[in-house]
Amino acid sequence: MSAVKRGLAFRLSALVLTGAGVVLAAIVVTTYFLAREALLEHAEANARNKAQALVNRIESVLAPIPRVAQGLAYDLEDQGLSEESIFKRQRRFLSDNDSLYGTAVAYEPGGRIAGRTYYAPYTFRTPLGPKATFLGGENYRYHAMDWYQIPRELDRIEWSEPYYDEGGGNSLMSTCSIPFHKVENGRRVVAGVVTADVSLEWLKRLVAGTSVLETGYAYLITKSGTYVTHPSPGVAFHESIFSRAEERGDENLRSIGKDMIRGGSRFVTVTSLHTGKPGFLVYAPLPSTGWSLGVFYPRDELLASVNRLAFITAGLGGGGFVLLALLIVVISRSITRPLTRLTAAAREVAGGRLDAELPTPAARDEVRELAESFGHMQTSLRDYIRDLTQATASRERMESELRIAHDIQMGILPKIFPPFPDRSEIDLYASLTPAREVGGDFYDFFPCGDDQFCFLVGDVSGKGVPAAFYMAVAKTLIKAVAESTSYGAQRQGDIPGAPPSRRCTDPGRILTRANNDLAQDNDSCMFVTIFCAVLDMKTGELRYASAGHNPPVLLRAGGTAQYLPTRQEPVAGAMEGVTYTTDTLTLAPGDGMLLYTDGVTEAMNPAQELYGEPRLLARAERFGETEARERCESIAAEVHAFAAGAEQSDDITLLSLIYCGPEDDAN
Amino acid sequence: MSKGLTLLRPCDALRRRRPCPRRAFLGALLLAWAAIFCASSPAAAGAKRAALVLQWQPQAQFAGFYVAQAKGFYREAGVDLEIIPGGQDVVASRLLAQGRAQFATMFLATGIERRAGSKGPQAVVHLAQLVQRSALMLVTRADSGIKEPRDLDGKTVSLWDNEFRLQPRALFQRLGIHPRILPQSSTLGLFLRGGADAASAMWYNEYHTLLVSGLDAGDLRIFFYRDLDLNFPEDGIYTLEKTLRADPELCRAVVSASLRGWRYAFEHPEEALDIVLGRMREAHVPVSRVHQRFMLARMKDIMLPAEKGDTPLGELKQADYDRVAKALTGLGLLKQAPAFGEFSRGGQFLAGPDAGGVAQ
Repeated sequence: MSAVKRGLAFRLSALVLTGAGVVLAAIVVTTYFLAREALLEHAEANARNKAQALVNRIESVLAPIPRVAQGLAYDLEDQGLSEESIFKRQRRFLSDNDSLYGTAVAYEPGGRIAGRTYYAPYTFRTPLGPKATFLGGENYRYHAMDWYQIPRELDRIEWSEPYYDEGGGNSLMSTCSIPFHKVENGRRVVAGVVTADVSLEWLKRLVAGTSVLETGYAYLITKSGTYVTHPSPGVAFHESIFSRAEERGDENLRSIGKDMIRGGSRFVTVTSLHTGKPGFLVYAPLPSTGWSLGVFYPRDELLASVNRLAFITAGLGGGGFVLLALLIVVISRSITRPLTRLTAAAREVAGGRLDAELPTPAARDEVRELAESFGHMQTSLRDYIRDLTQATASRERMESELRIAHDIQMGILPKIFPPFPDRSEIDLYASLTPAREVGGDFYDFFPCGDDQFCFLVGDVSGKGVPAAFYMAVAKTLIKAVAESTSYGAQRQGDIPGAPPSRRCTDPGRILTRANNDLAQDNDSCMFVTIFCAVLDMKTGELRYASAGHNPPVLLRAGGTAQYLPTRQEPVAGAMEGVTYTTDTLTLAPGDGMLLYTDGVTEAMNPAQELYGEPRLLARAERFGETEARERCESIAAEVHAFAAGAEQSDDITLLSLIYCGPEDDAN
Repeated sequence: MSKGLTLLRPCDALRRRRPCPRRAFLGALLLAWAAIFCASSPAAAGAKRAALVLQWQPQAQFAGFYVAQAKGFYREAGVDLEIIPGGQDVVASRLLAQGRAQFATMFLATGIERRAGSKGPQAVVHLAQLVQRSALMLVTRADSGIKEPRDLDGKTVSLWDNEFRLQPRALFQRLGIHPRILPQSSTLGLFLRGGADAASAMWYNEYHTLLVSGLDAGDLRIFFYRDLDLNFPEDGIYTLEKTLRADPELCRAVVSASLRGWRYAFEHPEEALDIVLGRMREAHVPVSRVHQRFMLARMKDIMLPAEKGDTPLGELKQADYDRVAKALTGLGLLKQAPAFGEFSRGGQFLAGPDAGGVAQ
């Protein structure tokens, strides 16, 4: 019972929960992927914007520097400024630009004063205010230095690689150098270089302090790929993006670095060498210096919001799922609990307690209908059982009466074999197997007069109690008639000259008289077939008459058997006034007769075949020297075997007689 | 030795116009501390004290010396050796002459010049030749029109000063070409920006710096002077005549421990790099392991014999000496080259510790 209950609840829960789970999982996964796609789509734009914003902030400081320096260069070219005005302009230059550390106007060898190799007025910031000095000397050959040589040779604005100026407070610097010109022999040649030393400490702090999610970071590389800032210790100014790539054997990083120093700007997928995390690198050039800014976004953190969303969705879904599961358990319980109670009650009813109380579910649902149906069934069952009990009682009474009737019926048939143990002339045996408790077949035998022996077999039309009654009447009547005729014969025999008394016992007359008696007041229109024979035990003469009965089998002592031909005379009891004819034959010692009713020849097997006369005859021919009892029993056994379990539809009556010859002969 | 810059260099390379008082102060402090430490060290009590000055700041170019020091090879040889890193302000021959250092490393050409410019007990003598094959090269862009050295005629070439100009000058003289020479700074910035068609580079240093500045090997065309019949052996160990006379055992000990250090460095490159990188950090110079690894590998290439017939580590072949001396006189830098026997005095140290005495 518990298994059934769990099964239903389990199946219901499993089905609903599986469906709901699949839908929930699909929602969570789809949400996650859609949100991730959307976020990644925007990530590139956001990253580019962020990098560009940083670049713009840096440029807003760096971009004016060359313009101001260029102004000084133009003034130098156009006006040939005096030393004093150069220093004056340099001081103004410094005071106007907070990010400027120092500025120089460096001339070509002998370019300002003939014979003087180094001439470079320089003004720089000190805690006590701007200080003016001159650069150049044997220990400071600036013409061979990058800040002078490169812009001079390339004749264009150049930003130097960043450097730490220890004299300037060990701060990060870069120098912006702008060549200025003079005309010499009609040709415009470089006369010197105006420089602006820019402190980059703010830039370093800006880039290093740029927070990108949790572990993301920004870095700056120079035109040769050297890191200016990098979150890893020992990288800035020590390594270049290419040396890092070489160290890790990372060709991808090298190609990214090449693109960066070329001024490229891209959004690429990389794995950070710093954190080892996969993510995205967006890089953009700083236009004025040619350096490149890289911003790394860790993928997992970029997707953190998506993951959080997925977690929330999954949490809500999971919570809902659990709630649903509880709900389903409750619902399935509420469905199965009345079912379980009903099952228990039904089991009790099935066990015989028809008055067991059935549960009545509160809800007006299918289970309640089922319970009500069970109630109806229980009531019907109770009524039926009551009726059945009554019917059974009355049937048992009837059966008991029928049993008594059967006993009575059987009681009126002679059952002592051999019937006359002191007479050796005949061997006789008879049997009657009724199809029901009582039947319409009968047999009888009795002596009637000297050496006269009457035997008969009858078969009343119909079956059951009416036939049994009729049979009793017919048998009694025949015996009474036979005996009365026998007496009559004896009385006739008393008259001198009268024919021998034995002739008087005439089967035809017995049947004629019995028929007349039976036919009188026969309202039920019943009838009976009778074969009646009287044997003279002295002579073996057999007189016989048949009222529509099956022809008996005559068995000659030699083993031949034949059906005794009978006249086609009507059945007895149907109508009055019928005269039955007596025929005569003589039995030799050893000859026998077999009388039977149609229950033998019309016995059917399951295939609806009749046992039939030919089989009976064939069986009879194989009797040989057997006794009467054995003959009856063997035929009964054969018929039984033939029927092979098919229901017996008619009474089976057999009477076998063997004439053994007169007593004297026997003696 | 290289005046070239590894990457960025805080003071010497990129220093602007002001002197570096802090560095000088730190250096003095370090020396004072080292002196106190050495004097008070019981392990060094029985050892002879000496100093070796190198041409340049700590880098794998000098790995063997630092390894020998760190592994205690000098101490085992009975020498308490102080290594003085070089730099723009540190001139090895001057420290040698002043007695500040007893040993120095120099290019062979520099050594010959110094020998020619000194005499008597102060005369510079050669003890061991470390770099047998010149690492100096000219580097040009592969997409420039310069297919061979002759194409440099009229082009802009940036060159370092002094000993680094000998081979180029000899080459240009031999080829009869006249490139426009620019002084080369301590970086290759001018070449990288396109301000020079060709530049000087040391194979073990600047060449790799170009590679880690975003140029591929295929982007560059290089000319080794050693392949142009101008193989000037480079780093060697030198001392003064008086030091050699006074204590040949000390010279032998320093040479053999140095060579042992070099051999150990080549056999254990990563350990050697750890030692060198440690020295570089102490000296506050840019540290890139990749770069130093490349440098150490190239040092091995130019120092150890590659094939049969190559000069063994430490030895100086007279043919090499004659080639350099001839170039120096040919360029007019020397009137007469010193005799090889007077110059090269360390040959007997290489045979083993029991080899004969000092050549007179």
